[in-house]
Amino acid sequence: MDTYQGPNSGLRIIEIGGTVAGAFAAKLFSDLGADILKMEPVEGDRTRSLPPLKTLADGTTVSGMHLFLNARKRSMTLDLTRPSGRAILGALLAESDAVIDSRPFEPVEDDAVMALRAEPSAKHIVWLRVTPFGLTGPWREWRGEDLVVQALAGGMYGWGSDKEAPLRAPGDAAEFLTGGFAAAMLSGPLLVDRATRVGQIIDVSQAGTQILTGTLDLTRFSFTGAVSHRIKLPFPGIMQCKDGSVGINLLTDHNWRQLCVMLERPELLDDPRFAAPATRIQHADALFEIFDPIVRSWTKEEFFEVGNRINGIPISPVADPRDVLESPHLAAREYFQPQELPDGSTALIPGPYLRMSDAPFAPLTKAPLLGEHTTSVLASLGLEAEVAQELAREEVI
Amino acid sequence: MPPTRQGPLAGIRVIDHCSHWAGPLMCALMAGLGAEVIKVESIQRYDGSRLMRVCKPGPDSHEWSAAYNGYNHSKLGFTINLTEPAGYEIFVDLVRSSDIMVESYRPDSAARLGISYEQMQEINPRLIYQTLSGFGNQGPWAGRPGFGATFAQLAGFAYAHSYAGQPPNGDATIPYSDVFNAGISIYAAISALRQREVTGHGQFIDQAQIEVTALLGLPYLLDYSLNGRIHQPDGNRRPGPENVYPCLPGEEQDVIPAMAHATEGRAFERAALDEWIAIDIESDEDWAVFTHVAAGQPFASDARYETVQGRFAHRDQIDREIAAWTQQQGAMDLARRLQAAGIGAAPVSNHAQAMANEHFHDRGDIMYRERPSTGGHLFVGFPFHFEQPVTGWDTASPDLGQHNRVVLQEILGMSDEQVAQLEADEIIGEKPVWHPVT
Repeated sequence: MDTYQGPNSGLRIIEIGGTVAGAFAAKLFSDLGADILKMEPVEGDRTRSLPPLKTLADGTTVSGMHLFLNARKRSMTLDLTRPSGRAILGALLAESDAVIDSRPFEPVEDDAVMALRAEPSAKHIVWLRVTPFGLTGPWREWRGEDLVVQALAGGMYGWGSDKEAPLRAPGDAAEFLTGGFAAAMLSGPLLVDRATRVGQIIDVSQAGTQILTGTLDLTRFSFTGAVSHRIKLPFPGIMQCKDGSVGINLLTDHNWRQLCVMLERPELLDDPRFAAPATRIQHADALFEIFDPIVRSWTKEEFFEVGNRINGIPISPVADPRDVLESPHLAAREYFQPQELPDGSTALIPGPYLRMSDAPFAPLTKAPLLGEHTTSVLASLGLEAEVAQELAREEVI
Repeated sequence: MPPTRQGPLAGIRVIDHCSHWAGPLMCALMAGLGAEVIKVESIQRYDGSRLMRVCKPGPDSHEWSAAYNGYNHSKLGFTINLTEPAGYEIFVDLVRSSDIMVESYRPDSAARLGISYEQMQEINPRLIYQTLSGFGNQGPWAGRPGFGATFAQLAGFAYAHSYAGQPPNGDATIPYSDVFNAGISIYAAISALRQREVTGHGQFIDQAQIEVTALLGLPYLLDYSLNGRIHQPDGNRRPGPENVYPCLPGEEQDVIPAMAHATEGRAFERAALDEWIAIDIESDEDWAVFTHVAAGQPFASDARYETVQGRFAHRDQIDREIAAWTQQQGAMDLARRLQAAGIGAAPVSNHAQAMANEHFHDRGDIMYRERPSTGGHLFVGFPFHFEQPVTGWDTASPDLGQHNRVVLQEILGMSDEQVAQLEADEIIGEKPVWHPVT
């Protein structure tokens, strides 16, 4: 372990379950100094095989998501379905502050792993349970990951084109969102010292978290009785320019006036069809006809320079992955940082997504090999080597 | 003093000097965790979100914004004109007794108002000062304008939100960018509170929304970083199959374009709503169960589809065959049958369905609250659940200046006469002096 000291140094957290949401919540703590012990099944958890994969010099592959999510953590293998595996977790709880648990749903009363909370030495444990639909409610046993929880939550119905299916947020957005809030919720009770803390369960559901992304349209439904549909307004929004896509983003009426002047169509400001936001919605097709050829004659960089920097309109190019990796702004802020891969090569991985004046961002250390720390963790519990060998023979570790 | 709140942030005072979305949501959730949050606006300049998704035109339209109403629960609504010396002094008094201040100005604006980190830290060294700007305080784009859409586009996230072979759409990336930034900012603020226990002083948190939002498109960024590949988006589809399929149309309902900020215009067309189901097959075992539910369909007995590789090789064909089956069924009915069999599936809820969802109501994730100006409605609730008592969102978003007297008299101890003078001078108030009628 390195000697990095951050706001969350001193916290000891156990991560089990292996979803992106759980692993990201634990990473947030790890990046500010907490010690994360990742408990994985003997075959490794899912984060180790998530795309994109990189083929290493020796022909093996490594997951990019694993590199990002698991850096700075310790890894041990442990079969929690077996009593001897659970006994080891139970022994570790005494010296830990919290468990980030994203295993599939199981009712708390039937859950042999969560039964460990009853031990006197675990009374201070904050047990963060991350599940698709939560620990309570009629649909708590429903299964579902990123796409399914987005679908149920309501926001997604308004995203995309009305000629096609509603379009999910891409990547692992729902998992990241849940993980971010899960860490935020867990950080609160951990403000209290271990000695005086009252342990508890925090119940974070993926579906419940996603509802927050649909709030605007859900509240509008509540006020008006109208469902927000994917009726695409061709203007403003993402449009095609000379060399790609550009976001003609207009937040205020002032932005609209600025745009007309910038694109040399000031007469539109006196056109009654375009006098107010509501009438511009009505005449969005006409606006598209007017602006489409003009936008196509500008480049992304011209829009960003003249539109955004000089005129102060929140216009921006739609960056593809290469643009982001080559962004001069992110480069100046040293956002992407080299991380060592298992074969000794390096790759650029996002580093400091938070800048705290008293807490320099933790250096990116190597992501742990599967079970790299099993032996040292067992030794710290005072287990004899023969016991460890027996556990290995039974494939508990 | 204002009513006692319960939760891990009980006793913490937060000044919410933010506008629009990420900052206000961050502060509302901290209120849910027990903090006392003072939302600072002015009658000269209120939160810009009051102009977004306005649901009722007229002189009170700023109270009828769906955006404002969604993200300001359980706060004390306070107006103060900072550009007047008397107003500035009151603000500084509040900062003196606060733990966290959050703003979403561009870097130079806070200094112009006299409320930069350096200025506030002198007044209260224990203050945690958090700024949620688009690009952060340093770097070539620092100070540039933008909101969620801008950051999502520059961070590579909007690129990924696209149907296969089409230009980027980007709709979903705006709310995800803002809401994700809110979550990360709460974690950062509470971590700074923890560090304050050790150091005794506050700190400056510079959250550049572009840097947080970039994580949402991470698989795409990593594929380029690791393999030099620019991965092409494929809509909703993932191997499995995992996709969204059409179902029988639903009931007629009033509809409005999702991206329209105003409710007028092409609003309230009546239409039979399209319905869809999301289905997520995660393994060959799942597929076997799925084909049992869909017994009799051509895909259910096709041996080529028994392995994930086979299903991936024939993904267009399989999606057509599944869609032909789902099209004859109701989305909710089919989702219930699939879930009963153990398959991940859910209807793509429209907003009427989500707000009526029995599971969300049971958990309190949808709640009924009343406001002085708009009456009682259903709102999205505080969706995180703690075993120990947490106040959550006990009240709806405050009206403009609703708690001026609570803040000035119960917190700062001012007299009736002093408050009346501030009202007369338009340093505080409850009616906007600047208000574009929509």
